[in-house]
Amino acid sequence: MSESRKITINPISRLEGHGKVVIHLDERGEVEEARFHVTQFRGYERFCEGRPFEEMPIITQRICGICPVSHQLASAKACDAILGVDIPETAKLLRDLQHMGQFIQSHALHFFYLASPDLLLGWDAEPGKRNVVGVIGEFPEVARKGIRLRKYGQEIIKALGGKRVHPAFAVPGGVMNPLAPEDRDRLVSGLEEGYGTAGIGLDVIKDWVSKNLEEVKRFATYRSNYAGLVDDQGCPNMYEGQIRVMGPDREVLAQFDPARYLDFIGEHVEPWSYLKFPFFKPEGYPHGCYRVGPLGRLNAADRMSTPKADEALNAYRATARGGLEGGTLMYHYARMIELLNCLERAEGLLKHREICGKDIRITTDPSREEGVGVIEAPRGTLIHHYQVDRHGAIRKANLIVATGHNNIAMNRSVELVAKEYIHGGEVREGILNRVEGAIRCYDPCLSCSTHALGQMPLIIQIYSRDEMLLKELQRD
Amino acid sequence: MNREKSKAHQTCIIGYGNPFRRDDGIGAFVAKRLRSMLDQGNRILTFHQLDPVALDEVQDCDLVVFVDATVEKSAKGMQWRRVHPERSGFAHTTHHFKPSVLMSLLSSLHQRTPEAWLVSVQGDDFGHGEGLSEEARSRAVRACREIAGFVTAKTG
Repeated sequence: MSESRKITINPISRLEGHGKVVIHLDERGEVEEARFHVTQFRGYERFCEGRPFEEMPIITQRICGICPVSHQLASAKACDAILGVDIPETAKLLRDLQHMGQFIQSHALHFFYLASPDLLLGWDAEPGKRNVVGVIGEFPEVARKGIRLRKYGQEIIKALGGKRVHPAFAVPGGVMNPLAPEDRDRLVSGLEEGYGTAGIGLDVIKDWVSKNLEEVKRFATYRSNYAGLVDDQGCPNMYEGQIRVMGPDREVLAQFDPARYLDFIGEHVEPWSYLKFPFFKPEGYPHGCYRVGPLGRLNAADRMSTPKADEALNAYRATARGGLEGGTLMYHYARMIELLNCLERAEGLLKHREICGKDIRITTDPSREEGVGVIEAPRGTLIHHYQVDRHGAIRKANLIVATGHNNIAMNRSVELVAKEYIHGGEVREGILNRVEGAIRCYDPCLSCSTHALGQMPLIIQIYSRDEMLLKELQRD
Repeated sequence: MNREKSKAHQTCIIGYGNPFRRDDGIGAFVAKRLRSMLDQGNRILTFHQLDPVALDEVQDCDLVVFVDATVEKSAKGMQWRRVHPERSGFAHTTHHFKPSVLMSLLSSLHQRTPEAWLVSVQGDDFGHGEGLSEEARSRAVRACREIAGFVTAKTG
């Protein structure tokens, strides 16, 4: 090999949205650089401007078909802040319950549908079979239960918001509908099967990790910070709490009210991706890399809020201790612990004495010109920040979504996996699948994450077949 | 969460698409209208986009009719196509899920291959907004009549 080469993986499969990876090899065929490019382009922040703030929960949930509930809740919380209200207890319980439905359906979809082909069939399995069809062929019961668990999560969402996808439920000041007792009873009856399926998922990943420890170590295991919302007991809380940033040696670097996020989180822009690069301000860019989502939340927490999940966390920590805390593949393990946690939390909420209460909304006029709403979406911390004029029209919207928080980390993971597995210019399909798999661990939603119309340069590069750059177009 | 299953011939009609993109809502429009045209024993569902959870809904069915909007133009304004299980049409993301792939998963998971049809109704306006364009609405109404007649003839 006498000259440099470029390898492109496009599109990346089994994740939500469109992105590409470009790997540059040097003259020896070793990886010089690898980058994860997000190639789809949205623009939500800009076209929200001028809209009445009350519309934001409905508008912004359309950002994503996988996590619309998360966007609606973060938005409603930002609107609550603009109204200056604490919503009624029942409304909070119901929002939290719908959010658990969101987590259950999203985590089930990712684990059983998108991630399990790599784990159950192998990284090097024939690409045509390395998908959920292949999983169904080999492990039909696992696949069937996974699909039913996703459906159960969607049933929770639908019972409250009328629809499985894009429900109309959370509104400024509360929620639109109470929970009917018959719906509560129906949902309670589905919990047992849900626990069984979460247990299967947990067993699958525990077994896989124990049999593949060397691969877990090799596969983008690195030191980073971790972040997520925690309650006053140090447990992950998907609906509210303070944002905690934990260092790689389990020292709390910062813990702050979410409304102060701008003091701690900066956003960097690179000319080669539509997705911004949030970073932990005290450490600067790119050193201030932190990971959010299941791995981030578990590594940032002291313990879990529910008994079964806490037991699973202890087992996880026993495995992870001594180097695997930063293992990118451990995201899958953490996701299954969260799945269990969300089922337990859903049970607690469904059995709460106020869950079928009728006091669900406060209506009042706005009292503030700014509001920040932060929750944990399945993929990580989700921030909605609005500024309104005196008529309540949006002057400025800033959304930082989970996939954005993980952008530095995903790029680092891609580069580490590429450098670990690609040598001498030899690139097998299974190796490229590992590179994709590094991104898949984070379960990124690229549709959600690209919304900053007009702030990032658009670059189109045209290469000849022998990799000569022929033309470059740039919009500033 | 177990649904009571009918031992009789079970039909499922699935209308899918995004009602907030004008004529892409044809599937939902047809499904809603068919609820008042067909016997209540028929299962009629809407999906924003076809989803693997639909497997759970069609697993005990003998006849499945999918209804979707299409940009494809045809003399009749709609096309009926038989849906056969297809293992190779698996998409990169869960945002694109074809009826043929759903039938393939059903065949693998439940060893069942019900008779399945895709009714593609031509749409003209897929811009932002609710409500069908005039032409699309008239095609959708016609599709309802055809589907109702077909299902009634099949199931007696």
